[in-house]
This record gives sequence, structure tokens and C-alpha cells, in this order.
Amino acid sequence: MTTGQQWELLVKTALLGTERQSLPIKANQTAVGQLLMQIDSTLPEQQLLDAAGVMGLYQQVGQRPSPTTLVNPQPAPSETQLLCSPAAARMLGQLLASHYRSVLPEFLKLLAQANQRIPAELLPALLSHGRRARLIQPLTLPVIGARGRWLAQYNPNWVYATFEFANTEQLNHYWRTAERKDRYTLLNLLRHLYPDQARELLQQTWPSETPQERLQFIRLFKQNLSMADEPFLEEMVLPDRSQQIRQKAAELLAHLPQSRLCQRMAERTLPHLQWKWLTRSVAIVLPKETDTDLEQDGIVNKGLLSRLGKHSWRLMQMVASTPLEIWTQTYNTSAELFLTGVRKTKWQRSLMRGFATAAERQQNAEWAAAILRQNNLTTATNKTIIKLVRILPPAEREQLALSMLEGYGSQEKLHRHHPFIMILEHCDHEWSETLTWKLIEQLKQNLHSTDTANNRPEQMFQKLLRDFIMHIPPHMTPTVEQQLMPIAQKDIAWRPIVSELVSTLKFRQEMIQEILPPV
Amino acid sequence: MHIKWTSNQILSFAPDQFVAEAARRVAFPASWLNLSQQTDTAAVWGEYLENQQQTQHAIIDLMGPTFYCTCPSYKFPCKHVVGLFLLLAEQPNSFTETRVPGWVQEWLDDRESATPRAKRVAKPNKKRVAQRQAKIEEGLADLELWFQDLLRRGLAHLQGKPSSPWEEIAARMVDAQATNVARELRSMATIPNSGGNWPARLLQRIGRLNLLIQGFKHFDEQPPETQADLRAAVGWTPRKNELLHLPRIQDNWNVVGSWLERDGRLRIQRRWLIGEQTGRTALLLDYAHGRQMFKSNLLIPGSAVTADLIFYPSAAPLRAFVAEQTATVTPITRVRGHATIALALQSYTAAIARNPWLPFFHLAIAQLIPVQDGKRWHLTDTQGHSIPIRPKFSQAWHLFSLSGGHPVMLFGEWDGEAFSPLSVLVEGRWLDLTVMRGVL
Repeated sequence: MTTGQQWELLVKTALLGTERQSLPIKANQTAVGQLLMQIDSTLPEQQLLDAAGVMGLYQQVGQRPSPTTLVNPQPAPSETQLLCSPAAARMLGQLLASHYRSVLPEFLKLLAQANQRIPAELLPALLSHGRRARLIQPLTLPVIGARGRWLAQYNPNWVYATFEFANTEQLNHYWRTAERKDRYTLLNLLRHLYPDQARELLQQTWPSETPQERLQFIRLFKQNLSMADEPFLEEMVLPDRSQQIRQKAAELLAHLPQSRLCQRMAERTLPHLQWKWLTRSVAIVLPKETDTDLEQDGIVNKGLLSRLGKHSWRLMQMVASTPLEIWTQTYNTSAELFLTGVRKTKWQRSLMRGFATAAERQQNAEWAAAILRQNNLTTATNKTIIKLVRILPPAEREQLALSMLEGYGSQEKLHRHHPFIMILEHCDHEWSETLTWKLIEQLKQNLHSTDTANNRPEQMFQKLLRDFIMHIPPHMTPTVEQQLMPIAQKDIAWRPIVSELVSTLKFRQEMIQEILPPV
Repeated sequence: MHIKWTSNQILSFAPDQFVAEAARRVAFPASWLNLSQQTDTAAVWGEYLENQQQTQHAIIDLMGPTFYCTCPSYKFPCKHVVGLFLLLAEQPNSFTETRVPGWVQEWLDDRESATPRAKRVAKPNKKRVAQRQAKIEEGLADLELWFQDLLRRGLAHLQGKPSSPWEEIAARMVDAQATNVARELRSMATIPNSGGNWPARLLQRIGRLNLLIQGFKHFDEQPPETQADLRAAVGWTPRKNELLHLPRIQDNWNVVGSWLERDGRLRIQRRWLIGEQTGRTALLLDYAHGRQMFKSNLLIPGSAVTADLIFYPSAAPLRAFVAEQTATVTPITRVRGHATIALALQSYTAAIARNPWLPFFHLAIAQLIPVQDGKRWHLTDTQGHSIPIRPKFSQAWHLFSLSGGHPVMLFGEWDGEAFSPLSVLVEGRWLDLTVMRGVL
């Protein structure tokens, strides 16, 4: 009997119990076998205990490594990009550990600009984060290096980092065979990086996709939408059987004033708003009949929640999808004047919303400015209209924001819904020193956004301040710190948020200097 | 030259995650006054603004590193200290180089006199030793009867049953002052319901405990080293001041790995050191119960220190303590590892053969490549052998990424079945795996 077999017998006996099974210790020529024979056998259970002790140790000491059948992975290819500095790596570690998270996208963009890659030990955390946060996904690709792409192959969660966009054949094959959520990941990435390729891919398989998939995929076309997408949307997506998909297609096409849909809309809508030169007014003729063509082009009947009448709702939607040039060109007037005329009508609220939607979709700055001027921006202003601030050029945005601090605005204490703050929310550019100074002054003077229940700064306000950090010019960091520190020292409730603000600013400043040092 | 600690390493000092998070919130310069440091004495200090009236004073001595804070928190190091340390690592420019003020100097002086440099050697009380020995032997005799009973009825009876009989016998061991045996028994209680080849595994552990019982039965016949191992196996280790007469091993000791384990309210810190000249491995074991703090200096992986170590007596000496630290902490220098798994395992089996009750062992192997097999990870060496990594290892992806399919040197713990990597040496960089996070 071999020692292995002997052990098996011991285990079996132990399992059944010495009451029921006698202990089979057989003679054996090995040293261990001899040792076992020497064990006192008066009490079978003790004999078993001692034998277990001997054999157990024997096996442990006799441990040998087993030859493996596993195959080593292919070694990762060598890198072509420079490794980022240890300080930058340390900062990335902090970002990935959820500190100053809002700065992460900027960090990745800077690193990509400098053509640097991150160290290997940070790859799993970044790749995992990219998987969860779709906005970060495309930003990770330029900085993971050859090691990152190699690593991603081994983890299905990180498939997004393995796509080789130049290899169209492989991509097509993947597109046809992968699971739905992986296809979604691919299409999303492609729309960010190579939008035309994304469309071509979807076009190939469109007829065989299920309605749920079609809806999910078409939603991605919001990203990098262009006239090149028009034929596909107009000819293949708009005529779809599902109303939801038709609506989505119409909404997308409404962003392209040169599209056929917009031209059709223009023809339909023109007769309903007539400009009267003499009185500088607009005469409204509400659309009466239901038009099946209208439905085909995405105009639906009003939802249950709208307070508008059925016809005015329809008119608003039509206006929202009509190219704005139609009004100024046909009537040979300015947006400003036209809107003044609209103001005088009975349906000015809904029409204003329609024009605002059209301006946002078409990114028309002239109309955006006109609409904003027509509306007194107060705390009660509709969100659709405030969003138009994004379309204005940066200088105009700032002007508008600053104007909110005069007159009415200057009386009110600064809080979440103050027009100044609301406009700043949409000032998505690096602010001028003037604007930054104004904000600091206002913060110093009248910080008043408290959640009275807990006597802490309101959560939403905190979030806003965090977003503002991204727009403050980095070189103003020392100024901000100097001016706001006293608040932190004085008021315990504000200390955490101010400390965080200042620290994040300093982090940003250090980050920029570290990755792209001024030459 | 001071070693550069990373934020992650500093956060690993924190006794738990709550302190770590609190430290993060505290680490803003706006909340501190008089952030200062003095390079010669390696002291760093500052005052944390708790509110209008109160401040907390915190000091860090980078030599240990050791810490001090005036706050009443029972957790150590507290959030102020960790926060101060984070500030030092992340925003070093917030600190001014200045002279050491009175209150900091006082603490530094106090500590100097506290180190047991020329402590008197204590002799164990003969009567108490005999008493404890007797208690243990009685307890183990009961355990022997319990095991006999178990094997008479058969292990099959244990499957599907609650663990209360194990709890009872474990409590009996605690009464007999054999705490390690109690812990081992509680751990064995989970085996019958763990599936796989559980009878063999359980019998193996029973066998090992039986060797311990038999060893104590014939205690006087054993050589002194084995007697020491038997007592250590039961949980009875000599006090440090009883060992001060033993030879001191001086070397530049590299801290190659550390692991913090929790067992209920007990926190156990294991630190592995490898001597640069002697090539010897030492295991520093520190305990802190509940709210206590760890008493020794916190040497972290990646650092090295010139020190005198004293090894606890054993047939396979491994556990040691720092008798005297003669220099400041510096970055790790060179670490050698075994060339193959086979050679490394030989060091394990040689040690086990001399001390069968060795609870922790280590392996340092150069040239290993991590490979995935389904959900399990393994390490292969240049000879075509492999060892498995323990299933709950949470830094497998970090390790895989660092290796990139190329061989790396690893240091970690080996329990006879699976490997727990603690540190990795790749491209001249020594990295502590245990602080890496971020993969769900």
C-alpha cells in the first residue's frame, strides 16, 4: 500500500468512526510506514489520532510543487508613449480614490495632450472606472498605453479598451456577434471618436435589429450629430413602425436646419405665423386639422401634463422644429423685432418656449440672445430659456451674468436660484478675471444658502460650487484662497465646502503645471 | 534622506476606514495653524482648528514613524495625525521649516527615555510558569478526550450540525490559557460545511493539534527550542524583556510585506523583514486589543531600517522583535528571492519539519508570472511549476497589470495551500500590493 492510499484509509475511518470501522494500518517498508506500525494500538481512536498526526505532517513536509498545465500569457508589447511623472501618478491615484472627482476628465485630457501614459498599477482602477462612467470611457483610451490595451483583453468588463478602430473587418464581425451591452459600448465609443463609422456600422444591421435595440442605439446619435447622418435618419429611421423611434429621429433631424424634415416643417409652419409690417405684430393662425404627415414627422398630440391647448401645443412643436432663418428671411426682419411681435400675441408663452427649443437645437446664437433679452430673467424663468446661455459666445454670457448683479439682483442674497448663479451654471468656458472677482466678492459678502434644518450649506449649492471650480482660471488660485480663507476660519458650517473648493483649485493648478509645464 | 510615503500608504496607517475618511476631510491647510517641520530632528507638527476656541496639537516623528495627538480619540493613529501626514505628502509647501517649539521638544525627549535601550533583563517567575504549564496540560488532556470521542463516533456526524460543540471546547481552551488552540478550534468548526475534500482537511488539522497534545504530554523530553515552539503554538510567548539576554542580530532590515488581520476585537499586524547582509527573514508580530494602539513603530513595506533584532527561541526561528533601531528609515535596498517555486517551498518544508505548528510562513520568489485560470489566479515559475493564489486576494488585476506577462519578484505569505502576495518588485520598483484599490 502506498502512503497515499494509507492516508485515504485513515480519512475514511475517521469519517465513519472507529466504533464502526477498524483501523487498517498495514505494513509498509517506508520509514513512515515503519513509524506508523510503532504507534500504540490499545485505544483505536488514539491510534487514529496519532497516525493522523504523523501522516498529516509527513504530507505537509513532503509538499512538492506540481508541474503546471497553465499557459503563460503573451507578454505585453513595449510602450511608445512616455510615462507620466510620479507626481502626476500620485494625483491620478487620488482622483481614482474619489477625491476631487470632477477634475478627472480634465486630468485625462491633459495627459492625452501631453501624449503620456499612466503607470501599470493604476490601470485596473482606471479601466474599472471607465466601465462605469461612460463619459470617462473615451478619455481613457489615449492614456492607457500598450499595457492597458493588453490588460483589457483579459477582462470582459474592459472590452471597450480593446477595440481596434482601424481594423474595420474585425469591428464588423464584433458588431454582428457580440452581446447587446457590448455592442452599445462599441457604438457609444465610435460615436464619440468616429461618428461616421458608427453610422455605417448601424446602417448595415438596422433592418435586423429589434425595436428596443434600435431605440437604444439611435439615442446615441445625439453625439456628434451632423448632416452626414441626415440620409440615414430621414430614409431609414424616420419611417419606422415604432412611434418612439420616429419621434426620436424627428427630434434629431430637428437639430439639422438643412434637413428635409426641417424644410417640410418650414413649409407647414410658415402660414401659421404671419408678420404684419405695419403694426410690427404677428398674427397667429392655429393649425386645425390633424395631419398624418405631421405625425410621421414626429409631432405628437399633447401629453396629459401640459397646460396648453391641443392646437397651441401642436404649433409650439412645429415652431420648435422649424429653421429659424425662415422667419427672418421670409419677412425680411430681425429676430428681435419678430419676437417683439410674438410677445404681443395671446400664445406668447408657448411660442417663446418653441423658439427657445428651436434656438437650442439649431445652436443659433442670434436668436438665443434675442430670446434672452425679451425675457426678464428672474428666479421664475423657465429652464429652457436659461439654457440658451450656453449658445452665446463667452463674452456675452459673462455680460449677461454680470448684469444680473445690478438692479434687482444686487438686493438679493446669493443663493442657488439667484439669476447670477443660474447663468453661471451655463457659462461653460474658462471665466475671465473680472467674472471670477465678482463671484468671489459676492461669496464673501452674502453667502446665504443654508439648509435651515441642518444649518449647513445647501447640497445643491455645494454641488454648484464644485462645478464652478472647473471654470476658474488656474492662475487665480492664490487669489481665491486668500479671499475665501477668512470665511473658512470664521464659520464652521462653511469650512468644509470652502476648504474643498480651495484644495480642488490648488489640485487643478498643480496638475496643469505638472503635466503641461509652461515652456 | 526621508522616505517618501504615498497617500495610500499613509491611509493604510489608519486603524479603520472611518478614520481614513475623516483624515481626508481634515487634510486641508485651511483647517490647520502653524504647519511646521524640522528636517534635522525629522519632526512634523501642526495645530488643527477644531472650532473657534479649541485646537488639537499633533506631532509626527518621521524616524519611526511615530505619532502623538492631544485629541481624546481612542483610535490611534487618529484622524488628525493621519490628516497631518497626508498634508505633508500631498501639499508639502504648506509647511514651514522652523525651530522645534517647547511642547514638541518635550514629547521628543519623553520618547527617547521610553525606548528600552538598557532595560533590565527580567526572569520569568518559576511558580507562575509551573502553574500555567499545569493548566495547559490539563486543558489539552481534555482536548485529547474530546478528539477521541469525536473519532470514535466519526467525522460524518459533524456535517450539517451547528458549531456549538466546537465553541464549548474552544471556551475550555481559553480557560486553560491556550488561546491559540481555541482560535484554531473555532476555525476548524467551519470545515465540515465547506464542501470539497473536507474530511481530509479536517483530519489533517486534528492530526496537527494531536501532535501538540502529545508534545505537551512529553514536554520535558523535548529540546528547549521545541518546548518554546510548543508553548508558542498554544499562545504562550515569552515577554520581550525576558529575552533581552539573547544575541542581537544587526542588519539593514528590509520591510518586504505587511498584513493587518482582525480576529474579533483583536488586531494582529504581521510585518516581514529580510536582512540585507544576513539574508534572514524575521516576522514582527504585534497585537492590539479593541481600543489599544500598536505599541511598536510602524515600519511600512518599502522601507528599510538598520536595527538590532532579537529572535524568539524556536526550532525554526522566525518571530522577532526590534531591540534597538539605530538609524532612520530609508527606502528599501536589495531583496533576494528564491529562483524557483521548488526552492522556495523547500524553505517552507524545512521550517515545518522543525516546527510543525508554524502559523505563518513566507515565500520570496523571483521570476513569477501571474496566470488566470477561470476565476482563480496562479503563479508560474521558470521551471514550469505553479502555485495558486488565495481565492480572496483582491489585487490580482493590479499584479497582473504590473507583470504584463513578464516575470516579477513577489513576496508573500504561504499557508501550505495558497499564496497571498504582499509586495512585488518590478522594474526596480518595490510596491506594496495591499494598499492598491479600485477594482470591483
